[in-house]
Amino acid sequence: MRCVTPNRAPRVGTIAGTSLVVVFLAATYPLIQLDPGRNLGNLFSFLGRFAVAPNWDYAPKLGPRLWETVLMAFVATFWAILISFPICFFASQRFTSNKILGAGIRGIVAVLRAFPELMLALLLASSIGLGPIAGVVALFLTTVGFLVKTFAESLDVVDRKPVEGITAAGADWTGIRTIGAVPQALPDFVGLSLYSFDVNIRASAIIGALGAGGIGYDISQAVKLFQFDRLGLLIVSIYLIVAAIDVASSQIRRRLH
Amino acid sequence: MKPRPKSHVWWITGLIALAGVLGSASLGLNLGTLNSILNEGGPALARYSQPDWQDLPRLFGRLGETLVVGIWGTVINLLLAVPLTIFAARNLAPNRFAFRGSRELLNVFRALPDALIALLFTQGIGLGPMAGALAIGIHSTGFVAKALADAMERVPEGTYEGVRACGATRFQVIRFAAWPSIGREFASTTLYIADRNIRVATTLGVVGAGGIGVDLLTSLRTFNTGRAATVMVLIVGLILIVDVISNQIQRRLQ
Repeated sequence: MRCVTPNRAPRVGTIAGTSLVVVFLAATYPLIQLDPGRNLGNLFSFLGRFAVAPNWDYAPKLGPRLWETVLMAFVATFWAILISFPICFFASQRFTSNKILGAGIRGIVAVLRAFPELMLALLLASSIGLGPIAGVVALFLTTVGFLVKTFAESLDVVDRKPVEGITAAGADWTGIRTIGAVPQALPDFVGLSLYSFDVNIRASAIIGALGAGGIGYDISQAVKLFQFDRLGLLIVSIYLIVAAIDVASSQIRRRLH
Repeated sequence: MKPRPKSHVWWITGLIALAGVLGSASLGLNLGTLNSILNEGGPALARYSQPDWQDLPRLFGRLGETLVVGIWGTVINLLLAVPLTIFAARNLAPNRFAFRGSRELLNVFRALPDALIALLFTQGIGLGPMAGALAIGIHSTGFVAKALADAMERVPEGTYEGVRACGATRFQVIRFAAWPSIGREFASTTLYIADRNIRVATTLGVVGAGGIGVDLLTSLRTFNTGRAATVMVLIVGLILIVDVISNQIQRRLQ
């Protein structure tokens, strides 16, 4: 039976793409060293080692570690929002004061987005020293790359009418943008900022594992030293903090709409 | 248009601003450190301006391994996500318990960063691309299965009813109502996540999970600036190329 719905994926593309992937998988099979029996066996014996009593003496130390991870993410996101907000007007196709300037800014942030946070963090650590500051700067740069682009895109799609109204009323350059466009794009701005914060908390936990501090550092130590009694607590605490922020940000987003 | 913001919005904005400033200060981020970053950062980064192309063939091999990790990760992700999607869609789940359970499992997958899972797997199943692919597969399942389940929930109830009215089994409802209705979302989500996974795979080698990331780590740690520059050019190049390709296909899909 052939299903014909308007939402069906294009057939030719799907077949071509799938066969390409199958060929790739077959060709690279030796490299990946897939051996389900051995892999799964190892994995289960590894997971079995988590079945130890948690090291409760260590639990009080978790708080400050988590705090450091969250703080790194928060500070990076905070400054990224502050910098991206004024820049996004120039990056917007509709509201920029100069088309060439707009294209230039969009190009720069596209390059920033192509830098993985981990790579930037390692690079900065080797130039300005390992520590939370290198982590914050790395997260800040990638977040600016993301926010300038997405802020500008949500400015591009605001309703025309309020903007025309405020222009007809004789508003100046800033007035047209801040009074005509920003209030309409504001729910998007807040949503995107919360999303960045969410992404940055996870990224900050990983960067910490490379030596920037916070919970990531403790995790990498616990993995290296086989401290399974700590590892369980660490993983659960990361899950709880990410889940809590997820719930809080979806509450805020719901109120905005 | 939205009504004027109430005064408590200004309070919250003020509190966030205060927290941002105090937080920066407590991390040691002030005008002095900013000044030294700007002054020392430039010359420090300038050392990476001369890539050393000697080791290129080997690095290309590692870049290929990164692609392998990203694509195998995406395939593992789809193998995990498609069955989970059925349970995570409210209107298709066999019961409430399966629905809540699978949604919670997806939350756990999403909350644990892939590099962290990879770090655990390098201990659990050994160093190498398999650990990275599996870690990527598990983490991104949290996103893909959630997005697809949400899409299945948005399909109008009539589409399901029509197929059920013909006496279709649960499998047939999924095969002939749910699946064709989300084809386009499936294609675009897969493409997005493949793009993301390849990008993540470029740095997973940092924790020993395969790919060019390991060369990044060793060359930066040993201050082999020429080699580090080459590695970074290759990583950013791969990400930009994959981004262009996926944007092109994404545009065709619309």
